[in-house]
Amino acid sequence: MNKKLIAITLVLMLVTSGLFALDLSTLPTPTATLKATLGDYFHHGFVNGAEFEATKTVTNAFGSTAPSFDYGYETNATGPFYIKMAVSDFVNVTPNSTGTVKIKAISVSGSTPQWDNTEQKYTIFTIPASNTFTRNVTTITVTPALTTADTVDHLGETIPASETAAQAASGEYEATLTFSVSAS
Amino acid sequence: MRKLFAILLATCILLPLSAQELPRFPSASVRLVGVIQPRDLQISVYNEAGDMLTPEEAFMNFEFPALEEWDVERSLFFRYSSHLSSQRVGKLIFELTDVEMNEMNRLRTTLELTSEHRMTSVENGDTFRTTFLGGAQDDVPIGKLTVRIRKRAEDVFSAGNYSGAFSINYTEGS
Repeated sequence: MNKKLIAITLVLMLVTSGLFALDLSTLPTPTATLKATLGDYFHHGFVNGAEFEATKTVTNAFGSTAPSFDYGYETNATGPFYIKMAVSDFVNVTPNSTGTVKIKAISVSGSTPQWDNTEQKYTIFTIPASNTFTRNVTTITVTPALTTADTVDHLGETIPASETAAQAASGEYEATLTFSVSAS
Repeated sequence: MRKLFAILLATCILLPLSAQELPRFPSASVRLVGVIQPRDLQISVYNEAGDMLTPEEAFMNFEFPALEEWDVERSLFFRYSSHLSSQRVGKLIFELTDVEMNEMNRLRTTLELTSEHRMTSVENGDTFRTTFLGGAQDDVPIGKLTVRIRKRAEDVFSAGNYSGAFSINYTEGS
């Protein structure tokens, strides 16, 4: 045997001897890690069964019972963020007609909601930083100024008699309440 | 130089964090719809006692005194109620006949219209031109109509019942 052959044989023996020296008891346990990402979601709107609808129309707003509706949200997102409600007066939408009917009061589940003077909106819900999953629904009631005895609106401003349903021009009136989500 | 590079790198890494915004969720809106039913224009006539006259009762009684000269007058008061969607201009035009028993016995009548209501003006002496306001209006004064009958000393009339008529026409528009 020449020297080259001896050297190659030694190297092979050194390499393969490691395999035979393997201790099976020290092998790590194989683990399969399943990874999935759950994205943030946020659904809000007007309650219709289990669903939230983005738009709603409530009629007979000047009836003897103040109009109300259920609004809610469902989210797994962490806050803080806020659901706020902008409110417009009732405006006469009849062609060639003008007129306004003020809103006397707004209540959320029977209480007066917090007014954000900067944004000119009501804060309806606050989603905290610790939020995991939340589903909240509340009933919002809007009371229009129906008679001249309704002299102060929901913001504490004086209501002229001409801006009550008793004295405003006849026609169809609409008020819009818009719910939006903001970070502050 | 290294420090500057490190600061720039840190800024680049942190920038996306600070620029992170709340996802834009679509807003939801509710429309509240209410209707104020219109009530058409209704003109009411009242006598001097403040009683509202129906069309059947809308007559004026004059009693002429047994004097050589006399001047009698009776007044009617006009008001309106409505709930219009917008203001409307209308005219009440009065026409008055003389009061007579027969051709030989005819008393001249004069008509006088006055109004203190800011939305009413008197035109041609026989017309109320009124702007009927939108919104609920209840018993809003239009004006006062006075019919005057005068007898001068030289006038000679037979005793008896005299009658005449006045009519009211309503037209819309200016």
